[in-house]
Amino acid sequence: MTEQNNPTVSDDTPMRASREYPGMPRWVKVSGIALLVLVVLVVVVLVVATALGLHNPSMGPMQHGMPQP
Amino acid sequence: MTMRPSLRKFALTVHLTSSVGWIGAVITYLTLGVAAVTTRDPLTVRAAWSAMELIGWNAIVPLALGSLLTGLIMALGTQWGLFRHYWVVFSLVLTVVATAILLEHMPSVSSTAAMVRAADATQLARGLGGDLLHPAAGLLVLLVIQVLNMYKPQGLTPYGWRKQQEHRSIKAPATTR
Repeated sequence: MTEQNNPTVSDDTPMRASREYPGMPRWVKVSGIALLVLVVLVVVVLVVATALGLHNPSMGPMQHGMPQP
Repeated sequence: MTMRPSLRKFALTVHLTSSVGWIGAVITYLTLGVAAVTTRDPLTVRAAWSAMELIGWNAIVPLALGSLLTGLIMALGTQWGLFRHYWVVFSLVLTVVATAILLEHMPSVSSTAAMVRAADATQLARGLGGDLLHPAAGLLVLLVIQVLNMYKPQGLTPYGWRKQQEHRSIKAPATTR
């Protein structure tokens, strides 16, 4: 909808140009998508690794190939 | 609510100290982790894991919590706010996630350190390993937060934009008088 068609916005409205939210910056969109892809990737890797028995959440960082004392 | 300048400077000093200290402690942890992975010397592995456990609990965890707490104080006590700017929101989310993963991960570091201390040289030689993924990923996240805090990229959230408009509309009549 253009401003001419919008009855709530007229030329004498103060700060008319800044009345509308300028939108999300590009760096936020790019970072958000990158973050989302990364999270999905981590979840998939964890699920696959757990399914294959390579990762056990209850185990420590290096307990995979090490016998308990 | 905005803080007095002297209080703001004090909070900023504590925040910078804890944040940069957190990065330094993670680099130290990562160095020890690399040593534990690359060495064949059982004594070095034991020493590295003991030090990693100590640094984790006594340096990284307090610094992470301190950084998070002072970051919240800085955001709420200044004009930046907590949800007004995207870079602040990103910093907050990344810090909370990093702290949560750290707190979830530290018990396993303790159990591994205890296991390494009890293991004999043959077991250590057979099962040499380390903890590189967590500190490396953590360091990357902390550096991203650091860059965000230094450059403060522009971008208001819808909430921040609304607050800015409210502030302007309150200020405008006063200045036109």
